[in-house]
Amino acid sequence: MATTQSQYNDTQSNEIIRTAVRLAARDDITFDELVAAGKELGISREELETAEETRRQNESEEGQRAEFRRMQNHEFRLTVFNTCLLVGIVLLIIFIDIREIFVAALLAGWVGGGAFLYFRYSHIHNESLLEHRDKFEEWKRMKDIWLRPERAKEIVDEIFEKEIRLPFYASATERKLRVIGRLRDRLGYDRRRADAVFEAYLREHPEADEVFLR
Amino acid sequence: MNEPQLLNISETQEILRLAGIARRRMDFFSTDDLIRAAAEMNVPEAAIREAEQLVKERQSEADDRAEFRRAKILELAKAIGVGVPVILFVIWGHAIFFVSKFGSAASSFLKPLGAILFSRSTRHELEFREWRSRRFYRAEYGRHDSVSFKQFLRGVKDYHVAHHVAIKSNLNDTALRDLLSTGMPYDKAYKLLYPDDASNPSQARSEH
Repeated sequence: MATTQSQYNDTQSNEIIRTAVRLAARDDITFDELVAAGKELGISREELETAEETRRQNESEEGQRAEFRRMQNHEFRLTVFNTCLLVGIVLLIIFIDIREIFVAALLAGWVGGGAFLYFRYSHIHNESLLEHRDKFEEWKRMKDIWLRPERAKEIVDEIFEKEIRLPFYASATERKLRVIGRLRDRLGYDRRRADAVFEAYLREHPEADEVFLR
Repeated sequence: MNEPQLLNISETQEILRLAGIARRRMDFFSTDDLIRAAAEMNVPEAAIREAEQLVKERQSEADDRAEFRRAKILELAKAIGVGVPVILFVIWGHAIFFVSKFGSAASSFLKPLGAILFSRSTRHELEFREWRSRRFYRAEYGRHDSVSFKQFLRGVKDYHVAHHVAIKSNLNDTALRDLLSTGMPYDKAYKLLYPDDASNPSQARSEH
């Protein structure tokens, strides 16, 4: 199959151009220029490499920690939401079923809910806990494992090519359904995503029209 | 003089459909179009290629998040179908003794609702990352069982190192990946597969 290029709509094209302009405008210096500057100050290349590695690690670790803290803030908001919703429902049940203890239940709900939220707040924001460190490590590890777009494209191309190579045996609709089924099975896409990928493939490969749009 | 061509309904529909497809294609830009447009603004091709990659990665994450959200909406719809009758039964049926069932119904309702409203919270972010990693695992290994997936996650730190080493040394790393996916430590797997290799795998590891 001939090599094809990705196709982008207006929004994507604008974003690419905008990002490219930003990248091109960077006022960066190369590492070799840094080494040359360091030489004048009597700093060796090895020392600079070590320093650069440490800086990169610190920067990345610090950025990730900040992101994790933001997640923990959202986690606390989620706890507040869940607590309010559950206490509200329980109070509603008490109001309808056992109205005579409603005022006491309301007070207990306030005190109990407040105490629980205070405990959760201090627990969620305590970064020295082993549980949080584990979560942070787990999150960091899983963040790197995902199907890269270029690999997903390879798999999609493979599925389509397999289907196109097959001799004529069914209508275009049936072939489309088969491809969508394979996309869902191999990549775990839902129906809407599989349809979008199918459309994108046809847009990028006009030669596939005769197979799938006959 | 040209005779006017007469078309029946199905032919007309087919022409309109094909014209629509061609029109849709015209609304899109290829990488070359973008490079040409950028050149007019003195933006180098390399910047466009890098930006293209960044945008693709961001788009992929956005698509994954949208898909994850759709899965959660479906889960919520199912929970509402079961949970609302249970809650109504508890409230208006004066069935306060049914409270243990109420707890499980509430939790099955709150989990997807929380994932939709507070998708950036730690527990849902972890769930999303796991879901995304599972897709990677499924696409690469074609396996769906959660036991081997967990093992794969345990050995994944080494998997990345193995992948780089394999690319660098031009090795077919499938066997290495398979061993690591069982949770075997990298050094052990490497030595098992390449006993004659004198290079120290730990050294290779530090290089990456």
